[in-house]
Amino acid sequence: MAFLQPIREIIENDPQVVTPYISWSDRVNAKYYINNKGIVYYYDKGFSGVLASITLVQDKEIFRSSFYKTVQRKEDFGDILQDFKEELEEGKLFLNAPVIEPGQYPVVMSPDVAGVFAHESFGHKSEADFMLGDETMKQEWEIGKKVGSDILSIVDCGLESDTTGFCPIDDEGVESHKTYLIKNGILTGRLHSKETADTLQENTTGNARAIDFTFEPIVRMTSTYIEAGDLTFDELIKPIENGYFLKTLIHGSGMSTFTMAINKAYKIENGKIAHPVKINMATGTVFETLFDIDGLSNKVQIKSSILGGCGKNEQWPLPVSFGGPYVRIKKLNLS
Amino acid sequence: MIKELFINETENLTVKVVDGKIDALRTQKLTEKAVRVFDEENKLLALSAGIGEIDEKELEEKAKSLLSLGMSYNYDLEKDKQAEFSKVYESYTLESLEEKAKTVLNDLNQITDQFVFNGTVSAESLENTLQNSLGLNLKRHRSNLEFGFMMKMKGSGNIMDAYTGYGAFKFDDKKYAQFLKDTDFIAKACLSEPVSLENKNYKILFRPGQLLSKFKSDINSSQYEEKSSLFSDRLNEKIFHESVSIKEVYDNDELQCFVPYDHEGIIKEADLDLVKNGVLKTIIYDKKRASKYGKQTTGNGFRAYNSHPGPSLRAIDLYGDIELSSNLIADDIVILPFLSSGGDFLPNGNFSMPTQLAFVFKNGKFIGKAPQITITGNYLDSFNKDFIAIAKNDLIPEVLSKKLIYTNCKVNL
Repeated sequence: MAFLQPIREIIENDPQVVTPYISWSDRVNAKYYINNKGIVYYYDKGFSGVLASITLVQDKEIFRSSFYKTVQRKEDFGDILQDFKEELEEGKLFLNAPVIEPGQYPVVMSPDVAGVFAHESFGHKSEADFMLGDETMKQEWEIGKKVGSDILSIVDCGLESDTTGFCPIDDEGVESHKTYLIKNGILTGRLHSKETADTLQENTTGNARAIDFTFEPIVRMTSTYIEAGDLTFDELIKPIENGYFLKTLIHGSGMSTFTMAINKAYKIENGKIAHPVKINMATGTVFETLFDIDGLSNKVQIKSSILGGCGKNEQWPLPVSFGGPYVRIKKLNLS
Repeated sequence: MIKELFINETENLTVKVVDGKIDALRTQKLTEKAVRVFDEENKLLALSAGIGEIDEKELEEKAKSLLSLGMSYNYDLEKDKQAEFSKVYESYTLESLEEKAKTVLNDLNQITDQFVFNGTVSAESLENTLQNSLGLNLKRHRSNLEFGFMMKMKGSGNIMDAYTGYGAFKFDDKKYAQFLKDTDFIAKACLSEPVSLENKNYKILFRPGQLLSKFKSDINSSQYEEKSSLFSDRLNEKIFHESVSIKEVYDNDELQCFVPYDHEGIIKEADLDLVKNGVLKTIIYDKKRASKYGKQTTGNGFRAYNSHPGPSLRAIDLYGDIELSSNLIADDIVILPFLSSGGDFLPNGNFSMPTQLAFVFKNGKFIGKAPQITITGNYLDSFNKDFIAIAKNDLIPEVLSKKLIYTNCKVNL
């Protein structure tokens, strides 16, 4: 409560802020596993997180903004009050931002948005249980097939210990490792449980996870991210004359088309960030968009969240993490 | 010190289906328990919760230790009220449920061999107890049967191309027969050739859930009273077309809703008019928000077992002058968005609805599926200038909502 008090004071004293929701969570998971094949393991992980979700109003304009940070050590929060203030002031810029004209545009996605894109658009398709029973799909998704641009590599790895996707050994006792789903544009791997690996005659990957003790393990992601390229952010946006920078989002989903509900976005004009805009949705066809990725920045950021998680069938929310570098895409549908 | 006890006891039997075959059988028996304590003198409250065989005394002591956090309350608690409500029509064993699942899978395989079915057949029983030391003692017990399947076309690169499902408080032969008929339609429609559409306005048949999710937050007192709702200060004003009436239901078998009391002990005696003939009639409050804003609670205080209540809606139903969908669409091109995942609303009511599967009707007949489209609009316009009618769903009545909203919207290819 004392930790959140400064944030609360800022919110209570700002007349533009209404319906604030502030949440603090501490989670410690200790997992014990034993089976009659002789596998015994224990691991634990702990995270703390803050979420401040606010509605900003000015005259008849409304904008919803949220700030969240998840860390393992208290010192990792850094100057959270300053971060929150910056987020709050930035949110106010969007109150009177223009709504974009729907259409197809070149975009640059932030690591947050890129991570959700990787998770939703391709990550779920890599979960091998979705291929069971479909011989045609197995042939179409043959390992070695070109599925994206040459610069694109997407990874799932449960060994990222400072992320909420940390899962060093799965719920069938299989150790995790770095699994390339796509490497240099080539379909390289899938995510497996023991059952799917056996059915498809491939190796296990340590991705069988149950949300809790009341469910059976199924194939799930851990930390899923796009690997870095070699450009700076400025180099990424420089060639764009009329496009958008997608900075934060509300949620995403991946079907035949993927969709991302965008929160904060900026116009890119003549190679520079211009002004805030309101975008409702970014959508695209997964397989087209993977080929349209033509620029990656040189550093990966992986985002964790103690609040929320991934949903699959009945099992939600499973702690995962996702991320990437800044990613440039030749065209996306924005509305 | 007032003590409140909240318990959910859930028994769930699930048959998991992968690739059209029974893959796993699961039984779950879960007890969620929470104690809240209310310090009447200092007007403070605290909560402690846990899962399983947890001693209530232990929870009570933990909750008392948390009073020092200083969470306050300013309302009266319900008292001297005892009631039990039950809607349990049938029960299953894992064996009988497995037999039911086999029948369902066999019937689905007879309908189509072009799809992979993945999903679950489940029977669940939920017993909720809400008691306090002021003489409140309420119990609710309901059971239901549900099956839901993702349908993946063989050879499709998608995780899911369509879905089908059945949900009810009990198994009903007539409803089940309709479910099979609906699934047959969905399968054939999904396999049909895409119809050519243009970037323009079309008549659309929406499910209430597709258009009313923002409405639910706009009539929430937290938004309404803080002026961040589109309806702030508009209670008793006309917000929708006069043909539109919406109520919250609390005991409705068709909508599978059985919530006779809220989690603050307010017992429902009638459905709640939210919108009547287009006029906004009710904003929903729990006790805390009612006290804060000087209003009466509407009996809409709901919670997870490990949280405090907040305002939330039960099921909602559209009512009034309603025609059959098949009559309404008799002479035009009409689009029914069936699978629309990932859409959202802007605060001003604008929405964008990516639609992965939609069905196209012309002159009352199904002519094919739509290509992938995004439907855009503003939900206030959908219920005002673009509104056509509320329709009874006689097109896919078991898998989709019972009522549909017929309106004009922009389709974007």
